[in-house]
Amino acid sequence: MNRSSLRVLSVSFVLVLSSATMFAQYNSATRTSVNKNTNVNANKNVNANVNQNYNVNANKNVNVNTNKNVNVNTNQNVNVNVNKNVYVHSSSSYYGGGCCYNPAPVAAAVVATAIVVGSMVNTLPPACTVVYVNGLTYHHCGSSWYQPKFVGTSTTYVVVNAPR
Amino acid sequence: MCKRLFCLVVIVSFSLSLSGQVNSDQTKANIDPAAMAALDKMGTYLRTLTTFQVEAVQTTDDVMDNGQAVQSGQVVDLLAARPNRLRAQMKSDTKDVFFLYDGKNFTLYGHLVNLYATVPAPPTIAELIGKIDEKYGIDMPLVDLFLWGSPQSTASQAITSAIDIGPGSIERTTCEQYAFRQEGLDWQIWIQLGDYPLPRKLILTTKDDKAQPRFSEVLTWNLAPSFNDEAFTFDPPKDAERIAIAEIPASPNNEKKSEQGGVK
Repeated sequence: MNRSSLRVLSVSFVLVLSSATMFAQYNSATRTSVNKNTNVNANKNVNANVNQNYNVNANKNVNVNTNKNVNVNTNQNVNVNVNKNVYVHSSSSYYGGGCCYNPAPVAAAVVATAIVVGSMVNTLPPACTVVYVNGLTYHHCGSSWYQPKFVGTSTTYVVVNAPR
Repeated sequence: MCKRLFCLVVIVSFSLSLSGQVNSDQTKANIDPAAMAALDKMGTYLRTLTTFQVEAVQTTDDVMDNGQAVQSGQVVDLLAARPNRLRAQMKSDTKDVFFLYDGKNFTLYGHLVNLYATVPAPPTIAELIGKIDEKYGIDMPLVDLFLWGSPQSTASQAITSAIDIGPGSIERTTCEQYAFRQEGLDWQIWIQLGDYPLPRKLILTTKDDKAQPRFSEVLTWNLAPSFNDEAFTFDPPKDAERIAIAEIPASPNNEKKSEQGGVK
């Protein structure tokens, strides 16, 4: 995911959540190999959820996601036109065995229609059906299809065209 | 006229060669041949190991947009049986990811999410490292251990300064500490003294970021690990679901985009 799109998403998200969530965005280029120029392109996006209304300790819940600019059509702007505080909870509760540690583009899940193929989200909208196609897992939610994928070593849901 | 021009050319080319000479002399002066030799010896030794198990306790700084570096940690446990079998676990507060490679397939398994992906793999670890990086943007854990002393290693050409710091103990083992510089990166290595010149500790300081974030690791080696073939083959746990690995789009401007997304 490139930085500009992360910014766009972050901005939309801030609008959604107003001051409830504090964002710490990482653009890390820390090298971890002497012989290979690895991680130079790593964009780490960490959202520390400091949800003061609920749980002060929530800032331990730091979700680290390393993106190596893999798989992204995210230069589309995901339009989030929400005036409800919908996702206050969901972004800080990934440990229940669900998918994904990458909370950045959660806001996209709020949009009921016109989800852009290639977008990445971290929580599914309500009322999804699990469908297996060629041994792979998909989630069919309304008119959209979500496929959990490894992006680097993290997992996220990617909006895809209908499988089969 | 012609003579003057000739003279000028001679002078210019002479001064050019002189300045080139000075630069390479300066670089040479900064490089202690003994430090380079120690690195070569370690690389050559690592290439002789066919099976090994190593645990790496790592810390990595991440730089936030406000320029502040914050540290995270992870432990990597890696078992390799060269040339074509490898198993690694990367465990941190937020992740518990396994890499499994049996010479035929490569599996990535996220233990906390109980999701896995299996893809066909090339016939050697060396080729696997290249493939998962290029195709999926995945870095093999402890990749340097497979690169030192190999033709793919870029470190020795890149080094602009090499200093022998002196003896230093890591986990009660006497090592020799060396400090190296290359463009954008300062790094230190502690190499075990004696018959087993193994890397025991590494610190990398990324210099082209203002915050100078650090990566460090301490390595504990087992050169006679016991294992069986099953260690490298993935047997999906109950209820584990199979998913895909996102591929890096093969568009020509992908590299450009990557650069933009990189160093700030």
